[in-house]
Amino acid sequence: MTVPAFISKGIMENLIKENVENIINEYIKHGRIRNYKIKKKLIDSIFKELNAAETDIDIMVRRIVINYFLNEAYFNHCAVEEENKNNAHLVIYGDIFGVLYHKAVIDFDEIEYGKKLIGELKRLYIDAFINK
Amino acid sequence: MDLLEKLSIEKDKIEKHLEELFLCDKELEGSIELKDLIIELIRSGGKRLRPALLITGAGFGNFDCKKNDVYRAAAMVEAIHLSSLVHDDVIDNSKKRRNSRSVNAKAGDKKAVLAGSYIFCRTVEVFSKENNIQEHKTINDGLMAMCHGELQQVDEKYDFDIDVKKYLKKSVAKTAKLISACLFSGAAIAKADEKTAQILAKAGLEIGTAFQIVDDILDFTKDSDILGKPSGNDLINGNITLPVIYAKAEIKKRFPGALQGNDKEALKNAVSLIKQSDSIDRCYALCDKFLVKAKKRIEKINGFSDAKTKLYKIIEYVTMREY
Repeated sequence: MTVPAFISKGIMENLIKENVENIINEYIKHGRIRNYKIKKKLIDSIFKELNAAETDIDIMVRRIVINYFLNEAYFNHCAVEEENKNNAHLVIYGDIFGVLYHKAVIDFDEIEYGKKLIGELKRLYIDAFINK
Repeated sequence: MDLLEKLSIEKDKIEKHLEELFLCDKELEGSIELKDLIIELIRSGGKRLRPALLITGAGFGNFDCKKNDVYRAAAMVEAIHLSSLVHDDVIDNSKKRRNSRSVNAKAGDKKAVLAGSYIFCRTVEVFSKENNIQEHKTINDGLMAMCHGELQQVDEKYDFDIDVKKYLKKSVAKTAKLISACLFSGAAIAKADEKTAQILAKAGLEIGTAFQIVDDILDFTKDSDILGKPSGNDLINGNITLPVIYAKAEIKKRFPGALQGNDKEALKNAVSLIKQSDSIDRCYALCDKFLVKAKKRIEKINGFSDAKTKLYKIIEYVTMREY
């Protein structure tokens, strides 16, 4: 669905973000991540990054969701510290987000887009590895 | 003779595909240290059970026409399994894996987690080039179940109230679902009929559960040199497995301190008690029940006698193995 010109950008942005939050919540339930609070700032920043390139609402929503899970996988894994008692949950939640990313890619039939993203994530992981 | 030799599976082919996943990875040239860690991990060996199951599953379809695809997929499931092992060792703070230092022992927890994540990303990247959505979904479901099993294990540390039912639910999640996914995916890649693939998926759950039970038995019964990790490690680290559940009443009577979780001496005594009790035999008896169910299912598949024979050999291996 392309954004009609007469609909305000503000309204469309809210619609997209609301849809994104609802979908993320459903996936979080599937992932059984307890007491999870959606990171609205993360959604905002992904929205801003993708907004210039995309005008179709459905595609925007799907790709924000996919990017969101990838970001969460990366953040959780990078938050691991040496011999820290929180490591177990950080590792597992990072893994769950990684699997949710893959699930979202399959569910939304975004295999090609997912391939591009995973290539970028690999580079981020290598940079993080080198800088540790 | 190792498992792959017993099944006449071309081990070299699996290893070649597995190493190529990373040797042909241009991004990985950016870090020789990461590349070396991954290649060392691959070359440290392993049972390669998951590739064996995938390849055997393919034997129930048109294996010969799909041989290259099957071996590539087999290498990829092993890569996914390796990434989970690297993360498991960080979670469990294990310093040994397959008689070598674990990745976290060599490089620290932070780098180990990133290494495991990298292996997963690279595998998904290559796997995305294969077009079978059903395999993607099946493997993904297996991975999600594995994460849930790990989470359950972490959240239930030192929880001695766990019963057999909860233990089996965790084992199915942690191990059996991915094993089931391997058998199913092999069949799917080789275009086996749907009914056969579903039978294999269910048998895979039973084989996988039995496999996890034996893993938990071996943690107590085998000496650390053979196992490649310290004996009784699970209990010392708070993982309440089937041998512990069966011996709980006796542990409570003789070493009640063990049930508090913080008395290391009592826990070590509990490990010795378990080895000498009938708990291990009871575990093997339950394992056999699952394997008998799996065999009965497999018998219902018409034809494919070679593939069935191989699957029965895997079933036999599950209980006979020493590590």
